[in-house]
Amino acid sequence: MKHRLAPLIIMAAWAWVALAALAYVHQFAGLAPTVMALLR
Amino acid sequence: MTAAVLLFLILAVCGGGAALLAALGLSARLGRFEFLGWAFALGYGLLGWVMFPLAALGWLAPWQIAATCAVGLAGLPLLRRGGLAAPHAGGAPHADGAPWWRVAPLLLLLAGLMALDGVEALAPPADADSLAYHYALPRRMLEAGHLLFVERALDAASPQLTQMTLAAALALGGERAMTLWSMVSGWGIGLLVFGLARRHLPLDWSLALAAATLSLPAMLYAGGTGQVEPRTAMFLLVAAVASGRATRHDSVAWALAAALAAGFFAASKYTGLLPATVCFVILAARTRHWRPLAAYAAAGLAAAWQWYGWNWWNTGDPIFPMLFGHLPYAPGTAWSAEQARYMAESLMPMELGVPRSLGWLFAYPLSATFAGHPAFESGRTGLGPLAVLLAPLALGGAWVHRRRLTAQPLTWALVVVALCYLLWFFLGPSQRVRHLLPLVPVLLVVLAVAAHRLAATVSLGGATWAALAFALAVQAAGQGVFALKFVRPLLAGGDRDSFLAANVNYYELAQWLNHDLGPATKILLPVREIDYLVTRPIFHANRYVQSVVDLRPEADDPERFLRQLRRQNVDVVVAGPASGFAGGGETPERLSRALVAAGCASGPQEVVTASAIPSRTLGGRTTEKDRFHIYRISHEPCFLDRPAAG
Repeated sequence: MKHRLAPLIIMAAWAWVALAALAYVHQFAGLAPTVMALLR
Repeated sequence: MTAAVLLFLILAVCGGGAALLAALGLSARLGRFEFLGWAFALGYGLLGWVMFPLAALGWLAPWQIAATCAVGLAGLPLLRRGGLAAPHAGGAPHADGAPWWRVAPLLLLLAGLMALDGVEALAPPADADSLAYHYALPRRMLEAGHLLFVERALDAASPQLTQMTLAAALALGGERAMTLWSMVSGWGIGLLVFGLARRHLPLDWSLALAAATLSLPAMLYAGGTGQVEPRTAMFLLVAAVASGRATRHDSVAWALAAALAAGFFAASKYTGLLPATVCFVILAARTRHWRPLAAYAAAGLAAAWQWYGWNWWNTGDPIFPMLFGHLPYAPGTAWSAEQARYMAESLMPMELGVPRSLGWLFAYPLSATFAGHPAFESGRTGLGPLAVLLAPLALGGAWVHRRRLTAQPLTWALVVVALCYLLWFFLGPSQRVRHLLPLVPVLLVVLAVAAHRLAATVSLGGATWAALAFALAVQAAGQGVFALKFVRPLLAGGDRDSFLAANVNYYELAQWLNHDLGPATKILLPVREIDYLVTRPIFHANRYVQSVVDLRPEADDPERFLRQLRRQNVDVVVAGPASGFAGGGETPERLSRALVAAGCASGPQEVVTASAIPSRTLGGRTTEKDRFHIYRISHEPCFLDRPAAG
């Protein structure tokens, strides 16, 4: 079905997914050195 | 032998559950995999339920447990005649085509996740809570040969249904059967999610949701251990979905299924009383007949009563010790007002990170996903990003289909989840995010269904799949890192002792107690992590949650301390670790020194261990040592052995 707000909804959906994913990963950024050390 | 025991338990549980579903007349009203998942969940609950009377009668010999489980095998033919043989039962699975290039990687991912779970299950148990009680209590009961009542709040004098299934596995196949049973019962929720999703979603979405559920950080932490939440998640899904369907069909059968599942949840944990109440309220609000309500109440009580009755029988309080001061306690119950106050004042600040306000009710899920308070423990045992990623898309889907929402059983399943969250937030004893794990699988399915409906109306350009792919990638990476500590010792051929020394706090103390003390020596042990690993009789001396031996910082009467030790037949007191002396852990040390000064004990002897482990996954142990002091209580009457009250 074609919706008149479709382009806006697509942009908002992608923006939300991208921002939320970045925010989620960001909280673990401090663990990166420890994880890298574990993997070595 | 271990594999045979595992297969036997799986078949017995599925058979028992299939028989229950057939008796309810629901076999043909569930989808193919849904039926299998529900059979496993209800059969699992039935196994834990049946183990209670066996333990109460002292019938805990392996052959007695095996013979009882074998009855469940009689239900296996019903699996063929139920949803398994009727793929279109309960509505056709979602028919949208799923491209092989999405299905195949998802199947591989699931296989990989389950293989890593398998490696974890082959390692000795190392989770602190499991070693302290989930595995320790079943072991102690099997040693005693009968049901035990341990007067310890929250973790021992509490509902124990899931632990009783562990007792069955331990009795039949030993420790490895128990850890493998933990793994299999942790997979149950993945099967249930897949079965529920297949009613509403294509195959690839359903597989992705199952993989996302099994790799949730909280599942990584708890799935392969004795922790309760991955198991009660099965009960909650069945209870919420069955309640939702009962609202549409006015069906006694759905109400009974909901009641059994909710009752099994309540028999596994006090917080199970919340969903049991919520499901009843939803039924009462939506059905027009008294029969489903009466059926729900009767079946729920039958499923849940055992451990509340056991608590009441031993203490006078069915939800010990929460009704202290409101109900008359049985003579000999050691709980006191001072202990209740100390427990509340000590544990509450540890468990509650933010105020119980309306604002935090809505902010908590976001905070616990993106930047949790330490009390949430969301960094490493959280609920993953998928729910938050899908939520706005799901709201869009709900808006598009807003006129049909109330007629959807899934909507009512979501209402159950929402009300449970509301009650948990305001009434629950803890804000640890992993305690919410039982609510998440249903939530994920509902959000995914709603997001999928939006994507079917407005092309989202793959944003929903991007969310799923991101969540799966992050969680799978997390599981990979988590599994390192199990994979490396397996590949290196390390032994049990070296694994436990690397992963369990104070394991050297357990070794010392097992090697240097006689087999009948009873030990007062203030550190909980090694309960399961100590082969000698112990008194688990958690100062917060028991007052059988009063170890609060205020306890200062050596005469009373000695009297309490004598009542428990304690021969040896362990005091420590020295690092805990500044935080209220000094009481056994102080009182034991007073016993030595009075000639009632000898010691101390020092045992040195490695320091505690900040994180089993990430390590971080320092080179510092912890010290324990061992005091031996004199068996001869001494100066302090005067008859006295109290």
